[in-house]
Amino acid sequence: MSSVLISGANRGLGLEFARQYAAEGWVVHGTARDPARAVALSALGSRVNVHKLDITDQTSIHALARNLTGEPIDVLIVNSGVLRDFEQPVQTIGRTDFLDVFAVNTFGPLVLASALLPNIEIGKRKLATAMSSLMSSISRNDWGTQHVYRASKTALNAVWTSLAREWRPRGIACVLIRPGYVRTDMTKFQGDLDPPESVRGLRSVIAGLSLADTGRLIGYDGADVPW
Amino acid sequence: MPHVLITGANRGLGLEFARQYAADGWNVITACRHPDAACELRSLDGKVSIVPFDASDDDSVMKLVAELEGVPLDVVIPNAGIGSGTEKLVSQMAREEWMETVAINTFVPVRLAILLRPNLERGTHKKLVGISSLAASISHYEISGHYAYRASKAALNSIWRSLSVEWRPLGVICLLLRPGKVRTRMTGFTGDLSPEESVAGMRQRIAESTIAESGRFLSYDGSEVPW
Repeated sequence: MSSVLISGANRGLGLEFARQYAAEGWVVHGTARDPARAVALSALGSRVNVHKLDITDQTSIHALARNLTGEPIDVLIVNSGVLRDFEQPVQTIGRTDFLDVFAVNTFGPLVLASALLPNIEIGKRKLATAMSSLMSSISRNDWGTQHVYRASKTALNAVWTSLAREWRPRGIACVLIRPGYVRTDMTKFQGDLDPPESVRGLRSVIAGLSLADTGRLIGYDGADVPW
Repeated sequence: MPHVLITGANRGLGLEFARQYAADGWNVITACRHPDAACELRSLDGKVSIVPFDASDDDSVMKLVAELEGVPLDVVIPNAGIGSGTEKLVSQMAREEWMETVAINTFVPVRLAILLRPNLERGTHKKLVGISSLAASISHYEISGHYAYRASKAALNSIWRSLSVEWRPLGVICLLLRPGKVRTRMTGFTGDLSPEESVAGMRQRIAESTIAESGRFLSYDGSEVPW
């Protein structure tokens, strides 16, 4: 029996990951900032464990890790993320809000992964994935837009590839995944595909990953995204 | 004669930029903390003015911008930055440290760029220079650790690239420069280059740059740095 931990599993891509893995018999640990309101996640059944987590709060991360002591996590999917550029474009965003985007999208994932290292190490797959984006690619950026979100994801790429180097001796693969332009709450339901298709693709990619893939950024379609 | 703005000019690369531009007859506007204590800066030959500036303080940023209202700036170099902290392993990440690093290395340069765009537009050269680092390179930075610094510089690269796309119609050149490993206080005076060599190279890159270089990441010696 395999186990997966998905952060931000109350809606969107996270919820779809939980749904698909639970349907395949995995033990699913899904996190949400407010478990009481994570109705759809809780409704997925007894194989799904709902945990409270605010990825910007180190105390919250450590409480989660304590609750999971001794639990193997075969696959970690740090999926939680925010896009604030519609309401707070780079032209006017203040220091606190700017840092908050990085807290959720860049450093929260690092601290979470670090806290769950013992769980990943006793897992069978030793795989830590984080949700990046085509928007993170600087070489592909010839259309601008969503400057702060982009930057936080480029920074995620930077720290995750560094984590890949740090954890290679432990045999843990750190891989960035790209879901495509998916219609969810975050994109105000704009996009090219729906969550089920994106997550099917990502799960297929995840199934094939090994230590040789550490440090890569791979899309739901299996294609690498250039930096 | 053209005008250049340099923040963090009391020592290191900033001081050397001020020295070389002043020697070339430019109007050099420098910004640093404790102008009274900036002895070397005060003793430079040429047209050098000093404005108080503390990158950790939003009010100070706004005061600097207000002080420069209406002043045409040909080259803007938000150089003030902080180096990697003590963290080498992901488990050593500290929230206060990464927040400060991203605030000073990413947020403030971006904020200055946006608020001083009118000044750049009034100038002739229209050059915005981001001081980046090999640490920002996702593919080519082999050293592990320094997560906060790496993230802050990768994010800087991302936003500079976004601004270059957005400001291309205005003719504003957004250039990212890698100084190389320079012997300054930030590197504990270890490195391959003196500030003089690095800055001479970077000034050459700035002087030669045209709109074709906007959005690119160049080393002090002219070679391209991979994203």
